[in-house]
Amino acid sequence: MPGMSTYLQTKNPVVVAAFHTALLHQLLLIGFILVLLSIAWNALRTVQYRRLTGDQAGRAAPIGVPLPPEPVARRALRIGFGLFWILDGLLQLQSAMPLGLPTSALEPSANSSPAWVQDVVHFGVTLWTRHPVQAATSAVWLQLGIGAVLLVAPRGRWSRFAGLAATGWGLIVWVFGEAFGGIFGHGSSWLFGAPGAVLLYCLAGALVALPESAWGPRLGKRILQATGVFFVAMAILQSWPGRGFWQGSRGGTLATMIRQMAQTSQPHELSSIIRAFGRFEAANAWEVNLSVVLLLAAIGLAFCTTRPRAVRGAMFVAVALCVADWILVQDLGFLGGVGTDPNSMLPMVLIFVSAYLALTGVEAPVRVPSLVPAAATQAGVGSDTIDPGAERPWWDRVASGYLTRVLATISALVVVLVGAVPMASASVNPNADPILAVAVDGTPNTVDVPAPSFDLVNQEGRPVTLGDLRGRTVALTFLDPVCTSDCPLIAQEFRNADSLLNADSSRVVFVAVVANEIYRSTAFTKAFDRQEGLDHMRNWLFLTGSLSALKAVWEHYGIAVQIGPAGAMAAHSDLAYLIDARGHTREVLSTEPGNGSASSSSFSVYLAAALDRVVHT
Amino acid sequence: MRAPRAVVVLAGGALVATTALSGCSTPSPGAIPGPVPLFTVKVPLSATFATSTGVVAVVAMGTLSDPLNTFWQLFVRPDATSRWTLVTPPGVADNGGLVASPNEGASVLAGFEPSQALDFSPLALSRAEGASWSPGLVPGALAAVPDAVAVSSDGGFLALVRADGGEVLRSAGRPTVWSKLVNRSTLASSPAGSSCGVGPLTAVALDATRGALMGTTCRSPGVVGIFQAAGGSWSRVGPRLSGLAASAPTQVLRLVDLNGTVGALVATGDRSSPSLIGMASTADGTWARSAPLSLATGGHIVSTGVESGGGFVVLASRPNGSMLLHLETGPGGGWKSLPAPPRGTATVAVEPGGVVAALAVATTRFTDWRLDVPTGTWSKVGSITVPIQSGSSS
Repeated sequence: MPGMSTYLQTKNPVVVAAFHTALLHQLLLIGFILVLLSIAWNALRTVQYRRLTGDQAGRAAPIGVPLPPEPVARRALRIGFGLFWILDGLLQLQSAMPLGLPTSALEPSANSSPAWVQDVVHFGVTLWTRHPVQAATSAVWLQLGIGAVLLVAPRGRWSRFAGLAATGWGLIVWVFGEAFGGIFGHGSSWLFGAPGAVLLYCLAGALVALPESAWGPRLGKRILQATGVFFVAMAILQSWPGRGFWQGSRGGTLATMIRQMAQTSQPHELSSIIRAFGRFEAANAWEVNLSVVLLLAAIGLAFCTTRPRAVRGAMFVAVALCVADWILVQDLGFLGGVGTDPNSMLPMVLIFVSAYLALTGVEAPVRVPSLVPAAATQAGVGSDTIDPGAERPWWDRVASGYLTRVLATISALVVVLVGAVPMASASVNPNADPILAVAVDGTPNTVDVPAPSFDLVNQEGRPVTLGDLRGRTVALTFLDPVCTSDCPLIAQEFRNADSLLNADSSRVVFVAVVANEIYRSTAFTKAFDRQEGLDHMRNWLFLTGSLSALKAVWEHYGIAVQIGPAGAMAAHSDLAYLIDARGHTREVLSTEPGNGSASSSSFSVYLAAALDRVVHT
Repeated sequence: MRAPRAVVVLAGGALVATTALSGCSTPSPGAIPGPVPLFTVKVPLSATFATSTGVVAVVAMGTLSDPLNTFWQLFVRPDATSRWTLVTPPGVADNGGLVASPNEGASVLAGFEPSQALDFSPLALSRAEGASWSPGLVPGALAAVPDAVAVSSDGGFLALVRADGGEVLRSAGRPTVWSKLVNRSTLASSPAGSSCGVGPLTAVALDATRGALMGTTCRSPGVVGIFQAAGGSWSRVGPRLSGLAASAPTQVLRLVDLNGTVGALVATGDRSSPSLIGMASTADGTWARSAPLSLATGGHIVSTGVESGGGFVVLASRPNGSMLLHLETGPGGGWKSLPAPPRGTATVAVEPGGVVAALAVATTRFTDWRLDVPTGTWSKVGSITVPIQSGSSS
């Protein structure tokens, strides 16, 4: 009813249930594929065993050429960021993600950014808002999958692919989810996470994607120099006057941020610590900022020297500073229901520690190489060992450990695909998920009773009765032709539903009956049709009649119509009746448009599906 | 080959000097000033209209900071009852604004400005000073000016809609069927229009004998854009201003027909400090004009009112928010400053006998104050609580 719009709450039970159900279904799909892969693994091992027991003499011993071990720096980065991606995927499981992420995280991240950044973020928000369940589940599996591939594929093409995938998905999240890390916004600061945690994920992904031969002291130097320059730049930004960081209790930027973070839903002990630091900062803002500026600058300069001793000392200070900022300012980053990552400090620590390890050339302990046939290497399933003397097919000679790793990598890739495919499908689907309409309006009331008859006139003044429409499915609703809010939206939903019906459109007639005691002549129904572009819709009727005839129809269909005083819009029930070809009401739907275009578009899909059911029963 | 630096400096200086001097030159005597840039003065929809049978007032009420909870109200004060009554026409959300036009026969035509998804304007016509209403519509969005509709005593209607910088529609009989009378571009290309340098159309009025009248903005300095339909074409009946106003563009802010007398409130000057001139047509076809009323620099008009003799009352605010009230002392007279009206005054009306009433609003409360001229004090006459339904437009 106009004036009583229903709004979707972040934890709407319908959407949350759909989210959990979709996750469960996708988990089952992943499980099914894992079972198939396990069967394949077992079959291969059985073939190998039979060959081994049946033809001992003919089995050529595999000859392996050991490769050098994976550089420790790369391994640290790969495993560390693999775990971060897994953590982020698990955070995406929070119930508030489908509906809460756009309003609580995506849009606020762009609030202080220029209009063009807001436009870019709006694109992502629209996509997510229209397909909240698909988007949220996709984010879960994509991130879990990327993390899993990073962890289980230590070497070779798939490992490097995981790095590229992490960079690609990370860039998408950085642009649409973090509004470019807020670097174009006011108040951007290293303390708050600039240039965005996910950009660090992208950087780490790009480093993992490098050939292993690139990992050495030279790469370590380059990373440390870049990190050093970044720290110095952040020190300059932090010291810049007029940005509120030198200011304390009255509107100080840092104090305000800490105050906001302390209000996040979190354990009491943690919020107490943050509040205490907030009070300290408010009272000593100048000294705190000076300390931060000096520390950032000193760390940056030490990193730039790339002298191991200086870097080691600076690294310990930097770790301490990052951890302190992570707890006291960033509030661990992931609390509050829609936190999607632990923010920037831990990833940053991981990057400069890895760079230090690369610089100092710490080597991994030499391990016994696994044996991989050349054919397998050429197929791209691994490259840490080769078997130049293979004469038998690769599946006959592949080592058990290697086979396990390949299957684990394929499994992780399946997880990535389970996330990527629905996300790609959602991004090209202009119609919103019908679950939104169910969340706003509830499920339809299914009945099978004769629909009340009516005898009214169409836009041209010609008589129309329900009997005249027998043989076609009727979608009947009630609209106020001079309504300023809901009715135009509902009319557009009907129009969109018609376009979604395709060939079945000719079997459906969309009918609205005037729901306004005063503005009810055909002049108004015609004006409404022109306004909404319905005057060219073949199967659209906007019916009206005498006040007594209209009142009778309203009463028979349970529609309350009220004329309010003092400039109020005429209020009426938002309902639609789906009447089958026999003239029986089959479904009764609420047509409350909800909040925003996503739920409206969602209702069109929902209505089209309901009409499809009625047409084909 | 490079020019010596001194030559370059001298040439540059000469160019700058020439440019500066040309900007300061004085036109030769007798030169006809060409069109000057258009200026527009915002005229709020809050307005009053007095006829020989009563006064009609349009004011915004509710939560004025929230457009969806701002509801426009229509009040009438029939001379017979001497009391203000709420008569807002029902059935349409009026958050976009309300315009009204009364006539001498107790008819009131009210028009709803479009808002949210509504892009045409419903109308409501009362033949009994708002006691009952019958519906109508304009197939377009009414212009957001106080005189966007007009009703004549012989049952004709005019509507000014926003399309194409302004388009005038005419209806005879039922206000649901309209025909196009003229639009801005047609008028601008006519001889009458070109003499004015027609800008946006700003007001319409309708008289049973004179026919359709229209007010516009004029780019041509000193020309007042009042046009009258005559035999299928339009002629400019607005005068040419003299004095300081002769060199400035003009804008017709209000245009009303009062029993054969046409009243117009015209702005001239520049946007930051416009002057207002009240005009009234006389029997010999000329115009009686008031002295210019200068508005405070940076101030703005809050409301305008028409008194039954064709004079105007203007409520304006200074940049600091304080209110100024000016009453035109009859057609062709001067402007008289009145005591500042009570807090919350939204519009001002001139009631029979020249009594000035301030109509104040506070969310849902409408209060009628009356000015005692000898003492310069305002006394409260009565108040009405308007049953506004917040949230009823969404």
